[in-house]
Amino acid sequence: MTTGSLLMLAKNESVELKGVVECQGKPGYLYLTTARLGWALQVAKDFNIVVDFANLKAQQVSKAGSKKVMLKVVLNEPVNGDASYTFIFTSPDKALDEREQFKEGLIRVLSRQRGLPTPAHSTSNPSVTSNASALPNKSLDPGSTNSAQMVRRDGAPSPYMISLTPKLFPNLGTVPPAPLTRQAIKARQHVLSKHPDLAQLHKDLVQAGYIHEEEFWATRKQLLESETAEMEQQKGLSSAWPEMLPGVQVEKSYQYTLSNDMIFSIFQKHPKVKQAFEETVPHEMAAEEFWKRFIASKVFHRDRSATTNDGVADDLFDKCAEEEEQEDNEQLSKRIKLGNLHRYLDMSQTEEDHIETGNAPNFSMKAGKLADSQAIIKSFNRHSQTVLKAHLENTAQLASTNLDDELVISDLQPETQQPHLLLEIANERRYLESQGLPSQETSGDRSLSTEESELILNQFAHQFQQANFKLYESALGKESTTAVLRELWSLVRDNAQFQWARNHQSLDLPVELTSSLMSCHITGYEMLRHLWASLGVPPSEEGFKRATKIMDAIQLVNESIREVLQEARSSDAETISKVGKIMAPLQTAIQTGQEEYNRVKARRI
Amino acid sequence: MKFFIDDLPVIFPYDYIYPEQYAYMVDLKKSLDARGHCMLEMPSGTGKTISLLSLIISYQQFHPDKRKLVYCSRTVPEIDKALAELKRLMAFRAQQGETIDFLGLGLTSRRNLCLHPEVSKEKKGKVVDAKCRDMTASWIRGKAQAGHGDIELCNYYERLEAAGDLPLPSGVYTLDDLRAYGRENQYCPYYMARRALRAADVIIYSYHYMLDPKVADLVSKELSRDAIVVFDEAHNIDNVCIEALSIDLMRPTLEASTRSVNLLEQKVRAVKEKDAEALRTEYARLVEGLREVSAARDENAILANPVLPDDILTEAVPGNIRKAEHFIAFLRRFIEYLKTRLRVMHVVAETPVSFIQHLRDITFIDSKPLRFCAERLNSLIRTLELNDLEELTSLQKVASFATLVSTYDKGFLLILEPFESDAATVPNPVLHFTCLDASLAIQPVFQRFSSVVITSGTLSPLSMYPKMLRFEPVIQSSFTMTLTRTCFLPLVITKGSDQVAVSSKFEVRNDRAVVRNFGNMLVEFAKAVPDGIVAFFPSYLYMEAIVAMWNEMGILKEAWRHKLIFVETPDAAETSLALENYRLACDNGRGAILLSVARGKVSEGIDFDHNYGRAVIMFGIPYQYTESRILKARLEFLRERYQIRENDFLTFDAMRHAAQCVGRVLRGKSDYGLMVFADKRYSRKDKRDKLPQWIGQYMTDATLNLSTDMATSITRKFLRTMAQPFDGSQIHTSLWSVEDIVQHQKNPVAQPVSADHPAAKA
Repeated sequence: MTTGSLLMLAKNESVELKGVVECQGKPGYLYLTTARLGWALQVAKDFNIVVDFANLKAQQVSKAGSKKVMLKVVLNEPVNGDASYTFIFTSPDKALDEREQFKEGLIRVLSRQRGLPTPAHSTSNPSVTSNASALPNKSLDPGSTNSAQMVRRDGAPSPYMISLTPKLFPNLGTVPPAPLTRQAIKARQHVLSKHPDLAQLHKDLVQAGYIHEEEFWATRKQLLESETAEMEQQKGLSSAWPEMLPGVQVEKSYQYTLSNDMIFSIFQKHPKVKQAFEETVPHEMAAEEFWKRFIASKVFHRDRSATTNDGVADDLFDKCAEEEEQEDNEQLSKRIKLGNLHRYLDMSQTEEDHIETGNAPNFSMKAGKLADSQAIIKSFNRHSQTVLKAHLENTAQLASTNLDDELVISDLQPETQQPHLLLEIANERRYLESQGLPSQETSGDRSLSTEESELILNQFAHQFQQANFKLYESALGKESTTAVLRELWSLVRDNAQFQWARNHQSLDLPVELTSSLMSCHITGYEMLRHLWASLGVPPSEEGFKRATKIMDAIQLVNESIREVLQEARSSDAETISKVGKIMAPLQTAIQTGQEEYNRVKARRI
Repeated sequence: MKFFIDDLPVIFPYDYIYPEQYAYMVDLKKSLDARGHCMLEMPSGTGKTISLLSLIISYQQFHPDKRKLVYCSRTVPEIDKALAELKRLMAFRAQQGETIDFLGLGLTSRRNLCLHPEVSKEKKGKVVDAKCRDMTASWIRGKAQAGHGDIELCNYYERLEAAGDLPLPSGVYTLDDLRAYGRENQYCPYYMARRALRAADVIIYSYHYMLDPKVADLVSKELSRDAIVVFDEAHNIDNVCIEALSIDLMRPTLEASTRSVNLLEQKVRAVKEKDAEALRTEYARLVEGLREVSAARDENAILANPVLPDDILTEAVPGNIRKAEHFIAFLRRFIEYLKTRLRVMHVVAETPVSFIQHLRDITFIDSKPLRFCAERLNSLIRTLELNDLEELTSLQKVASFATLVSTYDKGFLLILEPFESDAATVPNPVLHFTCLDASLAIQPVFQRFSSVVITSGTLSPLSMYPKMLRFEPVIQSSFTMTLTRTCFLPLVITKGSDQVAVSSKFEVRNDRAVVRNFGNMLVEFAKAVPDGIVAFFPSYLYMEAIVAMWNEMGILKEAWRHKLIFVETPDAAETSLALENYRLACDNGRGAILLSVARGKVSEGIDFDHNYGRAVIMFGIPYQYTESRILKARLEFLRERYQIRENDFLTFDAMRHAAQCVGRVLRGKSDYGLMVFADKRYSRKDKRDKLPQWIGQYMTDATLNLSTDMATSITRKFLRTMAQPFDGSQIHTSLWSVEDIVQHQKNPVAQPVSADHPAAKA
């Protein structure tokens, strides 16, 4: 996210969203910061319009497909006589995206605002849908604001979406999930579709109602984060040379198959052909006819090989080729267009620096002798440029234009010290006090004065010197450590053997058996994880309730383990021992979990 | 830093100095002290320009006679860079408390400096020149002042004229600064710079302004005798010299000349009716002869001009061309004769002597009036107040040809080629008047100026240049690079992964196996090398052919997957654009390949340092086209006159260009890069010996005979090692501080020692 460095942001405030937006007829930028919604003129150093979150009443958006992409913000209390503001998103190609981002951002803000007076966990069913629909989101386009519905409308109705509106979900006492952004939901969908194991688990546990969606993801933040990063990553065009598949000969003619990708790359390479396509198809000719003529044309043949001059003269495409060439030439014939060229790269300067003298170069050193190669070379440069520019369109240009860089030999200069990184602490006082410093007279001031910091640092230094560290002494006894490690090791080893065998398909068991073994393992361990997490230290009331619930689920797992063992018993002795071996670690683990649960239970009684 | 060489205080704008830079300065100072010429070879990318400027400026400011520095370079970007370096240096000196009244500036064509809103939009230099003259010639301005109609003048020029003597305050002006200053004060930057040349302490411009007699006459004539002249990047200077005096005559040239002669005739007639006085005065002046010029030359006031030989200065212009009408008739006869010569349908090669003989037999034109031709034409143009010189270019060409062909009986050859190539069927006759002796154009420079410095990254073998240019350097040395880590790695690839030998030899260069192997090499390097790769080909013809073949064979498909591909094109502006995009792709991590030509535009003066070039691949050996008749003539001349063997010269010429190409990969010692020579002939000793020592010393047996796969595995290892942070332990060995210099001066035996080459042992 780009931060508006020019803007006067309050301390600890940062810009979350930024969009090109017109307001009151003037162009500017709209910002959503962590504390407010602000709009500034393009050149302004500070916000011209500020809406504090507290003053935010509702938002409205224009219909999808309407000409202007608008966002209206209604205020609780009028500011300077304005009860509402209307923002028009004007960014040429991303207006809609930006608006959606702002909309979702505001949904989050508004729900947070609403959420405060009525704590969400008091509601029995804090699902995403209910939360979102509770928002005062009067959309002009009904239904488009609800994020969960939105996704479903977008297509790809995934089975996992159901989990967002669970039917029987008991509230296990956790903080209710913040309403999800569309982005987050998409990320979860992606992760699940990439990992079938996880999808199965999700189905078994979350959709069956054993654990909460948020709990399920809580231990998998890394996956989500990397997925989100991947989704947000701007990808450039592939640099691969657009390739025409050779035609297949059918009797006397050739047959070509054009895929969408291919058409895309043709359009990309020949913008003029795209233009022609848009102009002529479908009212002048059918798409099929268009491509037929294209393949016969010179443009197509020129792309394919250097030496042939094949191709039928075709007014439509010959015109395209001509226009393309003209454009190229135009770009270069006028010097003024090259005005911003890097000074040390402009070779035309040298060429025109003095009158050409001497004998003309011999034919091997005359460039441009082979006209056919020239066409290829030009298209190389053009293709590279297209790929590069598509990549750079959004990011601010460009190559280093600092001319000094080209001159200075850096290693002749003394090495400059890297400046120290400052540690920025949002609330210094609280941080330091939490580090065990005696709480001082608290004034609302978060930062510390110089004397105070000095004092605190001295105290730290003092404590540190006084402290009696015994780093050589181990906290646990040697014996118990070894015992724990040994047990862990055997579990890990057994599991690893099973995984290895499975991965190498050398398990030599019936397929169904293997898959039920697998699902037992996955579900079992996942449940155990949650069990141990909810038992926690010190055990809490809510945790225990959850644990009880999970214990029920574990019983189910036990059931299926028994089933599997039963099933295995009908086959040969080798299978029986194998299955037994595979199941042993899980059984042991469940056993241990059960014992712990019983212990806690006993203690409570 | 500030240190002393003997008693000379040198100010160098860095905290450290490379030992070779110091050694370079010491030798340079010696030759300045001795007032003699010198030749210095110093590795590319080790700060040659800044060492040169630091030493010479220190020298200039230390000695009371303040010898002027004239610094000549190849390309405008290089000129601009040198100016920027000078500016930095002067700023540093000012910081050190050395503020002085100092003027340094560069000069380039009107086209690059013009500010006129209309004229500056033109792309071609010739057009800009013509349009400019149309507004600034003295007679045009005279007419305008006399109130003749609507004559447009250039405001910038007028303001400059009005400003009087020297409007430029002291300082260093890069070309951009000149334009900016001109814009600010509404002065014409071009004429402002031309005028300021006389007062400047440092002038930086192109070789041509010193070596091309036509230009030199305008801008360099009055430079004082004790000026220090530097030719930087001078490895190609012999060719520049030869080009300055060679002339091509073709049918269109002669047609245009005929038209110009007709035009002159009309003008003469018109002037005769209106103002016969002007022609009479001219006649009188011509009877006096060129005594004025002669006097000036005797007093050593001006630089000699090879087109205006000494002996004709003392004579009067021959009677038969003194009168304008007679001279025009004379020219017409001469042009007609040339036209008949072009009609011959077989190749003719003859010496000037035989040409003159034949000319006399057929047309009774004597050699003496011919020798005055160029000067006589200029005089007529002045008298007739013609300003559209663009139209007269062809005629001036013919006139200079006449003068040269009648003046020199040695060192030139006339070659008539009726067809462009052996395969062509439509005749397109060219009369090459080719200069074979590089020393002719540069002799006046050596004779006039006491110190001429010839320097470059590639001057090996050093013995070649004094022979070809006929001068005696007081000092000639070659410096090697002191390195604590070997930051560049020359690899010689002799065969592809399939063990087929690769070579750009004429017989095999279009073999599919060779073409494929070259292509695979490119692909493999595209995979192994990050950021930028530059590939050079021996000629445009070969590059265009091989790119087409690769495209057809589908080899480039693989390369596209790894990097973007840019190619040098015939158009300079288009190539510049491609270059900029290439650098962009290297900067943003896409990586790119640039295909270009040795001896081409890109190979001269564009640096591929750091990420802009991690590897340079030289496909084949960039020999000249050996079937060229001009080259053959030159080879014969070199053998007979200077005892330089054909093969020696050809290899020398090819290797200097190859070295130039690969040398562009480095700047500074923290940079690193690969130099790949892909041709089996590079492994031979006679080829390697002609590479500069600083490259040659790192070519070891282990890297001399590689196949593509071996080379890429060495490459991977090298790049991995080099990409590690460099710990800067090079101080005292390959980086000197002031103390190190003092230490070295006390104990000069401790020469900088070059490091071993670990990568080669791998």
